[in-house]
Amino acid sequence: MIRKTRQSISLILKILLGVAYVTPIILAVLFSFQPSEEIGAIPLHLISDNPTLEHFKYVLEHIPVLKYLKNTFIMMLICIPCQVFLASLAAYSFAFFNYKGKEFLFSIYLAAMMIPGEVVIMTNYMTVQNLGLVDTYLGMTITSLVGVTGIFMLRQNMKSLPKELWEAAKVDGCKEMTYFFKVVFPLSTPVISSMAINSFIHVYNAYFWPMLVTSDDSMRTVQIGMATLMLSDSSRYGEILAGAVLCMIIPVIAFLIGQDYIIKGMTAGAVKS
Amino acid sequence: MKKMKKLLSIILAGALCLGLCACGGGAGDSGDKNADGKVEVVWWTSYSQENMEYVNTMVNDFNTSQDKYHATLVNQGSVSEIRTKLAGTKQENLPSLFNGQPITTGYYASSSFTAPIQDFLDADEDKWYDEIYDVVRTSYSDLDGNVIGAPCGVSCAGWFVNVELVEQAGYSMDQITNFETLAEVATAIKTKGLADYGIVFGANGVDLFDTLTLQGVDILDKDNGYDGEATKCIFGEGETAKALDKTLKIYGELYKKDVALTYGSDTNGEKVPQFAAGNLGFFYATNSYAQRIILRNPNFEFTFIPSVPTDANGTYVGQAMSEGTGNYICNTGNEEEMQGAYELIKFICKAENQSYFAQNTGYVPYTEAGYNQEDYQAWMTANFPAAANVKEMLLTSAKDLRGPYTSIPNALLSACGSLYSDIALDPTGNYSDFIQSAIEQIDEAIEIQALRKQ
Amino acid sequence: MGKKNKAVTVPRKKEKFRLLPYLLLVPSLIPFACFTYYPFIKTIISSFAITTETGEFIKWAGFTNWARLFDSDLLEILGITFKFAAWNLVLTFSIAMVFALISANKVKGSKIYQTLYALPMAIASSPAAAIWIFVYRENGGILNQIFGTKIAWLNNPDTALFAVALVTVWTHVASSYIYLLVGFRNVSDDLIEAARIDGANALVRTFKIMIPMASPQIFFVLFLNIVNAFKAFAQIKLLTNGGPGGATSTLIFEIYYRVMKHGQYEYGCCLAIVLFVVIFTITRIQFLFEKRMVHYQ
Repeated sequence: MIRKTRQSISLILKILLGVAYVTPIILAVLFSFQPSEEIGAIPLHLISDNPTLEHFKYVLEHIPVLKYLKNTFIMMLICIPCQVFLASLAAYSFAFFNYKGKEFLFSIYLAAMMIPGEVVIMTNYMTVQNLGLVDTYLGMTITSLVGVTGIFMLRQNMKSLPKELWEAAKVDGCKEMTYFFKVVFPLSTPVISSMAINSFIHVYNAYFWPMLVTSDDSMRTVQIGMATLMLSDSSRYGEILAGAVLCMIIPVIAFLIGQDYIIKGMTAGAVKS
Repeated sequence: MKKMKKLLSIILAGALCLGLCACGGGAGDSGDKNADGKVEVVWWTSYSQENMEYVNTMVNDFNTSQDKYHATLVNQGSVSEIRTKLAGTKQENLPSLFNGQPITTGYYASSSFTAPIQDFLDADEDKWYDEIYDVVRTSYSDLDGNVIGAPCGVSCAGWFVNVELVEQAGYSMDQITNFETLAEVATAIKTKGLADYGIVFGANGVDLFDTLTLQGVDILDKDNGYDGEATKCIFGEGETAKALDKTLKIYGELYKKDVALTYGSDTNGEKVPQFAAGNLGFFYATNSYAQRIILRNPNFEFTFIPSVPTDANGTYVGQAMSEGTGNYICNTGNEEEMQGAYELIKFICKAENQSYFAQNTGYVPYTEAGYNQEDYQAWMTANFPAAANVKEMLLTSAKDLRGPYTSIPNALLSACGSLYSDIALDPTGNYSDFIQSAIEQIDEAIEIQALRKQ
Repeated sequence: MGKKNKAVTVPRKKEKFRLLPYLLLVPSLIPFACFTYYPFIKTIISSFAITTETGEFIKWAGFTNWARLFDSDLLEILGITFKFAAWNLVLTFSIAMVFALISANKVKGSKIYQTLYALPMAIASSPAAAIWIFVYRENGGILNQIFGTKIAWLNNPDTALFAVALVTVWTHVASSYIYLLVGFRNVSDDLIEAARIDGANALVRTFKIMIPMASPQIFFVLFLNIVNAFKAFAQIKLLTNGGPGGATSTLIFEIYYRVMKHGQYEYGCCLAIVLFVVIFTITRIQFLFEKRMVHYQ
């Protein structure tokens, strides 16, 4: 009984901590229902006396959200499986084999993360133009096909798999690649899910590169659409926040679904079997 | 796990196929002939969603008014994002026209991707461009007087003023003809406890830049860049030094006496709310901000005066346009397309369109005909009578008034901004050090640019 | 702890040369080569040259750009960069660890707080910055209303850097949290249960079992935080734009400023290389500790 109460209190505290943590987001949601004159009034007040849906209506009427969502979705369909596949192959190489130049090659991969984007982005824009990939999905995704973060993380995960597993598989006459597809890859599902969630958010929030590579409005993504609400000659907070709130719904759903895959105790089960 | 592997490979293959064969749908590439045989004209704009819709109305009118061209409007981010993107875009991917600020005219004139409008004007019998106010025309022209771009939204920098506070402080608007007096009034407003803040400045260097240029004070040598490529900044020399010292002194006093709202405050978050609440005397901005003030407080009474010279001795030659947005034609090599861009630009500049755009956005018309449109006059009287002050300034500004002619406008603005920022943070510090640092910034930018030309 | 970690390897029989591990790397190396290494080589070359503002080579310039760099206020910028990175690293890592540890056990209702801790990832940086500006406002901002003060958090050189760091941390905790959560969740239940039965309390279970078992993941998240601490940029641009008076102008912001605003591409390349060297050095040091810190099975 005491255990249960303790657990309930613990749960409530953890949730309260979470609520406190996302206060700015709660503010954004509350403000998006306030009429324009009231947002940012001095001093700030949270709940308005005349809540309104006009900002949401404006966003939905003026921004072709569905079209942009379709484009974002296609981008993800390309990026995420690609990243997962390429990353797991590379991570497997780093985690399971010993070969000349392994450490050096791994450092090179890591170094890729340390290169700041701004000096690289214009060169890539030129390359993509030369390849004729302007206004194409491939052009928009080609710079995100490999994620070093994923490679590093998967390498860590694969290195921590028990060697008994490999020993047992070898005894059964299993070759490296079969081991990869049959054991390692499935066992890495939780890690891959977290990688997929991060990639999802990254692609979803991407702004500058898709903006650079697309000149045609029909290819654009959600964030670019939202950004047009808040350029320098605008001050319509209500619409900006309404757009942001609408934009948040999809990642939240994705996250809720993805969380199911981050489960416990897969390794223990595999060893037993 | 064979299923997993199979599933994965299918997804991957499908995705890659999609990526490889998917191309842009919708509007065709600019310059091509679309399905109806019309030439596609693509306009890269920097206007936000709201203003874009008004422009789009005009673009649609253009499309229905003729049957040779079909224009499309595409948002491409801010003017600086457009600039960056254009610089890196290959000729075949260029749009037909784009938005840029008049202060970057010098930069665009020397770029390979811009085609001057002058060529098209020369070929056109209708000399409609001559109707545009001289000072606006100058801001879009190059050294030799060739017109590079055309205005789209004309915005002039100046002060929004809370007239009631001015009068309560014991002054009248007629007295405010220069910065020295303006500062005096702002200080009075604060010291008499009439409001928390007497004044607030811009945060991007434009205010100091404008104050100098409207008095005909040069910032660069070689006659402000008109007698050849400028080689250095002359903040520390001659007339410029005198004007600068005076201006900075008056400016610094305001911070010493704590009259000003914190430098760099967020415009929409701090400045506009304070002003609209009647808690701020003078607010430096451009006339297009009128919309935001009206939005925040529809019943608030205010007026607007263009930027003023430093003191009673300062000569006022008018305001060189640095703000606002204009249209420039891209050098795509496709003659029909470029002609189409020209026709669109000409259409936008028609009097009725000027009036329509100005009423909805807070920009001002830039020809007499535009200003005198009935519907604009009606709107102006009801909403923003101070627009008359702007028009007066536009009309009377010296014909050949120009700011510095340079391909590094951003460096000049940054340096001006740094000066104002340094003093605001340390009003009792050593102003000569700050000025020296600004000079070094500009000189370095000039040097880097010069290395490219050799 | 000092257990030597043994990666699961192909047993070395005769050190026969194998093509397979290299082949596995080829698919990822191709996009890297085109879109990361090639531009980086170009960056290095450009730092010794004069280029157009978009990086097209004009002519060689030897050490001109580098001389200009070392003649400038580089030390000041580095100072600001390190301060900013230190706050980012320490705060992001510790908050993410705390969140992950308290979420380590999957219980009923844990999905709620899990989502809350990761939620800041779902809001784009521009609207988030718009809200934080309201939080930090001088007149009637939320912080000032709570504390009863009248500080201009984002415009005062003394507070600006920390204020921006706080927003950066707030945005970045979520992703570290998700990675750490996986690490902790993957620690086998049996191990924990066995320890509990042996009488180990929560603290001991955490430090002697959870953390060592998840150390590969933690090592990785630490690396990620170090790199991101130096590369954090969006919040600076949106909140203070490098101000006030350059107080929030870190190395990465300078790069953006020089390249995008001023078209000084070559100079930006020099700065980018400096940044790269800084991050590389620090992470190299981190890797020296890999054997000590990380426990692979």
